[in-house]
Amino acid sequence: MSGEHGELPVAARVRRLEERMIAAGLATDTELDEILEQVFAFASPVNGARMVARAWKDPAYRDRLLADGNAAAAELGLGAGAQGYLLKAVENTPAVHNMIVCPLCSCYPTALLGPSPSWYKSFAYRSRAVREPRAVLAEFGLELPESTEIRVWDANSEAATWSCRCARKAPGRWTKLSCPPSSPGTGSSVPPPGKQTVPGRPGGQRRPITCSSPLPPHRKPPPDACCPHRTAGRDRHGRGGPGHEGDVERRVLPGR
Amino acid sequence: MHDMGGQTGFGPVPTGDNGQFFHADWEARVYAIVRVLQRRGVINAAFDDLRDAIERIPPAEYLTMSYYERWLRAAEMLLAERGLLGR
Amino acid sequence: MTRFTAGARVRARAADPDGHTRLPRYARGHIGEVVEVRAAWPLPDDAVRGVFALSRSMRCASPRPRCGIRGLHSVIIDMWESYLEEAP
Repeated sequence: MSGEHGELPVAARVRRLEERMIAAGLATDTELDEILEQVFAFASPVNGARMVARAWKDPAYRDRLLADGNAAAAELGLGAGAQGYLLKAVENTPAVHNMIVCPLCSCYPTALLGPSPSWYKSFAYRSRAVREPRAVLAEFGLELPESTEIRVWDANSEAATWSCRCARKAPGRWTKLSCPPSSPGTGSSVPPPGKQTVPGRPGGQRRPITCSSPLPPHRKPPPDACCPHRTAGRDRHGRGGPGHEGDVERRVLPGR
Repeated sequence: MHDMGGQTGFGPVPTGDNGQFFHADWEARVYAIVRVLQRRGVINAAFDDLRDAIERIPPAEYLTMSYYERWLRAAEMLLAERGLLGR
Repeated sequence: MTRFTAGARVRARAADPDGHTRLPRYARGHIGEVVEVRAAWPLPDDAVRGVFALSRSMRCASPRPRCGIRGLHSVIIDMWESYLEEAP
């Protein structure tokens, strides 16, 4: 986590608010830190990627995932991340490609997948996805044939929809999953953030905390691990875009 | 201003995100502040209060603020409106 | 009691409320079809006013894929029953 913004006016304003909340008994230093520790320790796009990878390997799990996203998450020990909203997975096929957007505020299943990427929260994506999804996808490098229907899911806070390709590529052969050492944002071959530190409290010392992150570059992913899991930009195969094959599209709830 | 589905004029989607959860320490602290306010009931469990406060940010300011700046403003508004921080 | 079931033809209300709502402007007054009916949740419009009122959550799709400049697309919106009325 960068510390070079520490002296920005907004950073000072945040520190001041923290101090006032603590003084008013609304928060404690420990609690604020613990919240971030929990986010970094659990929430990750890798959670979604695990579910997709399992669906690719296990047709029965795929069916269960499409039928009940919450139950499917719980099967993999991810139920806590899906609490409080209805998680729905939708499948990309050659005939239908799914996109998810929350034009009003960028809702997303943060507790499961972590905070949403900047592009998802951008005014451009929020405004244009329901109007011209094909053009938006093209900006991510994904050109779909005109015969492919694009379904745009306008999410609200209680329901998180998640698009992925769940089918095997060829009968009898499982798609070999490659997990490029990509950050969850770009899908490109960029080393992931790795360790992230919980930002320090006002007046306190920073406590470096090793948090979960996408797999480090030097580790080969286990068979049921992730697939290229970011949708902004291209992955190493030149694919990209929200909801592209193999990508897990994250959908956000503010604060969840 | 928040209700922007279908609006035009916002230009290309910024696809160069590096995937960091937060792009500055202060953003993460704002996230934690909002979660605490949810726990305390200042923001309801479904975060409707947060959304409502964000939507009440004047449009001209809304457009110039980043995502977590809007969260910060909303948290300040709610705390002030309910008189929870004292003087 | 649920007023609409899957397959029902509905119209999103055209009203422009002063306060918080999850009915986006681009959908107001438009006709669609209910594709899924889900559990009842507290209606956000009322929750922010401190009023507790349940409304059944549902998904509605645009009646048919819209033909954009370069192909088909449809929009499926998460809705609350309170936002909907019967469409002719």
